[in-house]
Amino acid sequence: MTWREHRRNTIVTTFNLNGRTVSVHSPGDAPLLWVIRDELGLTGTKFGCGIGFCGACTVHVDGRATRSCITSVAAVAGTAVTTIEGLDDEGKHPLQTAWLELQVPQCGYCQPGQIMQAATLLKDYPNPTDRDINAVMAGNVCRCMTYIRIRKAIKLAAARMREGVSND
Amino acid sequence: MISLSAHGLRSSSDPSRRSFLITMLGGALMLGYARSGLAALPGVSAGELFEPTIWYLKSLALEDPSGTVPGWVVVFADSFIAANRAADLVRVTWHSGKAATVSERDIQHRAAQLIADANGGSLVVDDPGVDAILASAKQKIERTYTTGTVMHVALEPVNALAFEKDGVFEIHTGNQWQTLILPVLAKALGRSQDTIVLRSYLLGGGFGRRLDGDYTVPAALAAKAIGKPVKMVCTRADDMRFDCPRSPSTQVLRMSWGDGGRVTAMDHHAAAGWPTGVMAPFFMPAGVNRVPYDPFSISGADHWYTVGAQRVRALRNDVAERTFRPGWLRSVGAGWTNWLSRASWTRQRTQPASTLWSFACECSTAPAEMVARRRVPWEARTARRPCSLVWRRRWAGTSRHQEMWGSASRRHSVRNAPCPRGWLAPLACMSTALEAMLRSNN
Repeated sequence: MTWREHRRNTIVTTFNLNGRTVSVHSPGDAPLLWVIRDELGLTGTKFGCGIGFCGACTVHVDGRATRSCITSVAAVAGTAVTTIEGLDDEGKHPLQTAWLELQVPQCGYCQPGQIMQAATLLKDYPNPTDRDINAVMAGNVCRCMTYIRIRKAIKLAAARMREGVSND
Repeated sequence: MISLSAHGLRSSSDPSRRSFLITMLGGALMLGYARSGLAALPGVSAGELFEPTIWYLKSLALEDPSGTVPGWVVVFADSFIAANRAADLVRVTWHSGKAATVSERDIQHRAAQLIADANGGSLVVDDPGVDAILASAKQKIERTYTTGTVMHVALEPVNALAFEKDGVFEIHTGNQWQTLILPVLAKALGRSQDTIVLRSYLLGGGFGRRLDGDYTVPAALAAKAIGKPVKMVCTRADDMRFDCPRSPSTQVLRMSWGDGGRVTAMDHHAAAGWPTGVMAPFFMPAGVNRVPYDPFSISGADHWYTVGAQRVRALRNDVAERTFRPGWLRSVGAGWTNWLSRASWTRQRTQPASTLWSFACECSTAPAEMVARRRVPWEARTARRPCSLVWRRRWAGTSRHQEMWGSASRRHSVRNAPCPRGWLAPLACMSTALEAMLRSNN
């Protein structure tokens, strides 16, 4: 048995990823981020700091924003994990369209994490104030300082979601 | 979300064709190929490695003919997780050089020595009579400003994917200056430049860090060594360890005032490690005294204000350059020079009632009514400092700087910009900064 065959036959962690059930062979203490990127091949979730500080790796675990770089894959067994690729099947979540419309990104690297964090923000605060946005988004760092546009986009998306405007 | 997820660097959808590595700094050679865990590593047993399904493959010290990554040891594995953890278990012993004990203070001290020597450095601006005016002025100041080392910390740690296919070596990465690193890669790989292709990706935050493509070299060397595609991913810690930070700087500014509070002379000396001197010496134009200088370590000191007789001297800090590899940091110009100009003017404005904005305007030659409305025609703003030899030379378009950039200077570039709204942008930025400083002072 080769080492790769051996690995395939050992540890399996099963969870729901973007609506599909997946089983992974990475060790249980492997960071969810790298399982998503390396084993499952979804590279929309970014590696920034590796210590849960910058927010670039934010995904949803059972609907809550979670830093995947410090979350072990074993901890998400049986849960529903959503990455930026699964936020909307066509990439037209109100946040995503607002992001594009307002040309929010500069280098773009932090933006998937920003959007995932903002998505949970809008669940909790459908009509967020600047203070709400600042408080919830404080853990998502943008090295290019696009914070003003991020706030505008969140408010635009919030307004559209309240009005029930569909981007489909 | 295609545009937001385009940073992925996957060599293949088949994991068996991918290799990953984590870099480590060191001088020891550690070779081994273990298909059954870590048994081949001296002093490390497979049992020490967390889970039996993480497999360590190989580590080796890179031999780099280009000298870009001396002393690097890389660890190969089939996933980032495995490589990262294996790297933590590799013990490397290396011999550090004299630079290991150099402190920030040592670098600043050397800068002060260089500035104290009136004969060194490159004269970027050298108007006649500066010393005489300063000596005879009734009102004058002298200040020393220092800035510390600044790292890039782009959000995406540096990385690169390298592989050879059909006789061509491909490097996939975000890079801001491909022609700078291509000859280095050719030397490192021992092949001609026309057999190396750089595929540029989004930067993930450049800020000048990716002007230096040094991080492509270990990826290429590793791929060559094992004959497989290699994706090198620096951890955040390694990204910072191997950064090319902005150099510490020391600046001395002397200014004098005459009747009516008008500035009569400005003498500006700046010492720092020069990134252009280290990485692209061919890119340095000659100063008035024919000594080459790094324009990215002095730009901003040769500003557009009328300050009487002006001298700008750029000095290369040899201690800084022996200690680390200086880099360009956003926005490639030296931020410390502009900072000095603004900070010094904030503190040395002569009339208490005047605002910093008005002080800056006093030093300009723009028509007063236009300044009052903050709408200064670019022609008026650029028609100043006629005594500057550098200005004239650059304006004539004969400098090396112009040949390479296609424009004589930043001022020239902006002046010739066809966009009618573009000319106001630098002025608006300056105004905002000045007013912010003024508010904080008051």
